[in-house]
Amino acid sequence: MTSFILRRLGSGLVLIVLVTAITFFLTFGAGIPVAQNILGPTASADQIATLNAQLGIDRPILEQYASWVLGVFRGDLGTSYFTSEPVAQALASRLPVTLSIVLVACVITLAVSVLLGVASAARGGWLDSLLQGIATISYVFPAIVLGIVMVYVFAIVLEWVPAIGFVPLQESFGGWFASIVLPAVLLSIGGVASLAAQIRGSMIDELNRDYVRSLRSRGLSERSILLKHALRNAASPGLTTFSLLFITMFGASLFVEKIFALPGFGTYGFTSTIQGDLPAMLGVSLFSVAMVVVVNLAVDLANGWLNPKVRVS
Amino acid sequence: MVRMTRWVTAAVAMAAAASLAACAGGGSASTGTGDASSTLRLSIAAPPSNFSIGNWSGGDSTLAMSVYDSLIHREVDGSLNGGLAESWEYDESATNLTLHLREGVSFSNGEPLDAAAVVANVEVLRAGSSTAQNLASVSSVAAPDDSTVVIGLSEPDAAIVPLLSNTNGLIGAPSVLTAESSQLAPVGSGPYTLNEQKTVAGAKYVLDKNADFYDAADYPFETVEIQVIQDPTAVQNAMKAGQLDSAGLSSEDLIAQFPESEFTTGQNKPSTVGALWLVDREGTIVPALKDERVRRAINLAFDRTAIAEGLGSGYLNASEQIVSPTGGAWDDELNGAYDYDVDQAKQLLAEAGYADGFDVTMPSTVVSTKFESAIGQALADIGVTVTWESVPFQDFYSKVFGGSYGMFFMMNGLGGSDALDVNASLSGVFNPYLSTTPELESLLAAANLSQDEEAFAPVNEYLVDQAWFAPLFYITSLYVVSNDVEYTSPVVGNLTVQPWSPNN
Repeated sequence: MTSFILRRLGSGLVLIVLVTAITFFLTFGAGIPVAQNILGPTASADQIATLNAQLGIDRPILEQYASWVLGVFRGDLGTSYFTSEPVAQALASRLPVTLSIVLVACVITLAVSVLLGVASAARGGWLDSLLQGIATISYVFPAIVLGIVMVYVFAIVLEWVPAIGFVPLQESFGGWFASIVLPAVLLSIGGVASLAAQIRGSMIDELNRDYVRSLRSRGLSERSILLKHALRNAASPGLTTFSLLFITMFGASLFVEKIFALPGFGTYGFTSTIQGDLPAMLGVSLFSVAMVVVVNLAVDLANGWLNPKVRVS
Repeated sequence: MVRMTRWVTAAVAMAAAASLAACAGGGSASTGTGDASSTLRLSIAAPPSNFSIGNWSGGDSTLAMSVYDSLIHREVDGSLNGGLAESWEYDESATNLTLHLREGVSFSNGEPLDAAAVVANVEVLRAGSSTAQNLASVSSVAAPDDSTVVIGLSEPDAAIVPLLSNTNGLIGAPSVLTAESSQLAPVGSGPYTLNEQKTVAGAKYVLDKNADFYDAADYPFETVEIQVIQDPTAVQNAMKAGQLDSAGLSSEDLIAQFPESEFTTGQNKPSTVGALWLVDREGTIVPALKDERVRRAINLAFDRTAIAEGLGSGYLNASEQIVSPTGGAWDDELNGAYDYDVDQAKQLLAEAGYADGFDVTMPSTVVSTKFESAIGQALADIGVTVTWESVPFQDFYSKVFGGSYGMFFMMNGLGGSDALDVNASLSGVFNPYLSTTPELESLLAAANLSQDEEAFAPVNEYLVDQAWFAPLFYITSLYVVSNDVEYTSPVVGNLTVQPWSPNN
């Protein structure tokens, strides 16, 4: 088990190096005029040169990359060209915002998907129709349209939640929840559609197996059969789908952050890419790859716990 | 099995606790930090890059000019009044500007604001990445005594005094002028101080009133909260939900969404000019542009009133001048210099040897897309065929400076002063080839020497007559404010929070 984890982490490290290097050299090759973008259209060549020197952009490309890599080992991810804020500090302030939305969205997705998936597999009927309806809504209506409607109804008309802004958890639990509940619900809609369908399909397969017939003949309650036996066996593919959903939600958080003006990881990554803010882009890349590696490792370990047949011994 | 269940339960509980802990942290970006009636809540589209003196960039200077004070104040009505310099005067040659400083002023860290501090700041401003070019005519700065500063100019420059009323005239504490800390934690003497505990850099800025500010009465709000909101729809939603007190509107169609019982809407003073910048006046890339008859023909090709009404959404105003209608150089009669006349345009092109027209490539950017159809059609009507070349905005400047285009469409901000507006139109990307004429230089020299409000009128007249540019419109943007605040549209926007006051 330990060697498995170490091997996965090692390959993850290689992946981080590769992705950040590609990001660096591709961005450098794009030749984005960072200083000009900061100073505006009336800037002179001398002003641009001065700012380039201040930002260190005029150094040779390999020197810039080496400087960044050495900084990472010291815990210094550099400073944003556009906000002068240390990238590590920026990520630390923005990650809780996105994690709040994504984790709550995951809880909603998991809870609703399991409920709907199991119920529609066991009962069918109107529950199955509800599942189809949710899937249709999520595929037909762009998330941004749904988001605007939700803001209008719940924030502007009903005034139940704020339209924009984030309240940190340590400041107020109620304020925090009110500020992230709409974004989390919006983010979870697409996830529910796909995960519930996955669980439904897996459950139907399990419920048709011989061991379920045997359990029923032994007099076990249907509830016990569904939740203790069939769901456990059906969970593995669902877990894999769920891990992909988590990563997808992290990337999709950009859209809800824009709608609700949340200062999160998604908007930080998007803005830094548009501006060519290289230190910020590298920090975002590094964290994103690390997160994917950790999540995939966690899912593999969870799958191993659920199904001993797939454990690596 | 029971033991396994307990372990699973414990693991899930720990994961939940870790998740909640991860959701904690992040600065406070909530609204309503202070008492609603004493808090002004605004938004900006992009965060400031750098608070340090000489390096502030970006269109909105409200944050910088709230925490720092400027040597000269620009009032809401556009007039210039004493700031840290209570009064000022030029000598007869207009090359020495003497500033008489206000006494008894200190920075927020207790350092005295005296002549030595101002001298140190001006030296930094002369070298600043954002300010060096603007202050290029400053050749020296000295402090003959503790309350007097003399700024020496290499030549008369009428833009210097207006420049000292914006970010080019901000004064920060000398001890941290070049310190890295000043990039995010400014130390000034302005009407507000930055509340670093409640501020989340790049997301939300909270300002607390400086009770010791000498003009504190002009700043009635105890707290100012400025949120960074990139999406215009999110800004409008925040206004409707009562989370912002003031915002801009992109179209008059949106006004109906803000009932008069809760909001007040209106138009701001002119802020921006939109024009075809005919920069290749040497004819290097587009030989035709060297001939002023061709440039005049281009000006005659546009029905500016139709463009403003058709594409304006309520905020475009036809213009043939690059100066502001609120300034002394503006001439209403010049707005008839190039009345729409396709026939005359074609005649001028024929006289210049372009009876069959010519081809030109222009960059297509996010700024021009809305107007490309109208511009392309207008030029096509006189025989000029435009090829629009898609350019990411971040590449636009380098391509213009690299000589890719002889003309392009772009907006340019109006600075509240004819000297600033003319300088801005004759520099940077708007004059990449640094083209000039002896007559223009002579007119500029005379304008810079004069203290007259209409000093730049002859320069404006020359630029229009020579069809230096092809201005199409100026913008009077739309605003909406909550009825809880009063708002007076300033002549120069995005400077301070003086335009707003509580509606008692």
